[in-house]
Amino acid sequence: MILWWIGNLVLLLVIAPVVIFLLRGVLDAAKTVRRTLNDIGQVGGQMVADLEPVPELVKTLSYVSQTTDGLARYGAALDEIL
Amino acid sequence: MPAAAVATIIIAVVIVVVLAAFLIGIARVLVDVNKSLGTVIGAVGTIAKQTEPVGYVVESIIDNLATARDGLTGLLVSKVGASGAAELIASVDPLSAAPPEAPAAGHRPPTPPTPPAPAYSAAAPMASTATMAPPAPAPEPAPAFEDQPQVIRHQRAFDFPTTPPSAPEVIRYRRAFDPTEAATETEPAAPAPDVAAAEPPPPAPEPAAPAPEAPASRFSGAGTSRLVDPDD
Repeated sequence: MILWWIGNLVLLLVIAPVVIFLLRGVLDAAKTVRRTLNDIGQVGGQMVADLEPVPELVKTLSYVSQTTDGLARYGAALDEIL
Repeated sequence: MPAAAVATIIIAVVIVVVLAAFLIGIARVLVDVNKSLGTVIGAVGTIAKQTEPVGYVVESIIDNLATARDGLTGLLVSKVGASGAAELIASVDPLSAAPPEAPAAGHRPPTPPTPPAPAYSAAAPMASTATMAPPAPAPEPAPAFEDQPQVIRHQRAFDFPTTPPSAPEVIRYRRAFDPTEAATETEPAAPAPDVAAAEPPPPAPEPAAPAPEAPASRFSGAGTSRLVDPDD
């Protein structure tokens, strides 16, 4: 009977705190992961907003092509002039 | 039932309840993490889709610009020679390095060695770069500020050509390249009005004196180039 009580005390004073300590560590780590993911989500949203003008590069390419053609004509004209 | 057994059961129930509470909290956090990961994956997919055309578009832009640069450089080299082209580019680009030695046709006077660039100061805010550094302060008392405006001092730092404005650089280089051509043409600035007048003229029934060189159709598009929006 005495050993049983000792076992109860060990279960209450040692096993339970250790289990709670370990579970609290897991819970804190999970909360940290959630905060980090929220930050990553915010940065991803900002990146998407920053990259919205990237498709305009196609228009830039068209402008550069037209400018190159104009430069070619201008160079030919300069060649004739000079 | 002994009291020890009852206490054991109570302790076990308490521990199970605490375990369940913690596990439920962890499960909720993991559900939130799953949602956040879905959002992040969607954002990454959007980023990948948005940046998809960057590669070939930038390569095409670089190719076009390189083609234009090569063409204009080739034109300059064919007209004024390699050294003349380098000096001409250096004369219009203050950021480019000056040629090591001036050619015979160029009348660029020898320049004194450039003093080391001083540290940035609020008194000369336009001279923050090394190439735009103002000359070192002279030991003698400096004249009034109105006598040395900022523009003049920067022109000295750039080593701009000091020829009078009536003698353009291009004309001098062209004469140096082909001296016989200067004798056949009395007005050096004659081709400029041709380019300016390259706009499609009204149909003239009787051309008084057609220009022997440079057909107007070659220049008609040079002055009227206009960027067209591909979306329009």
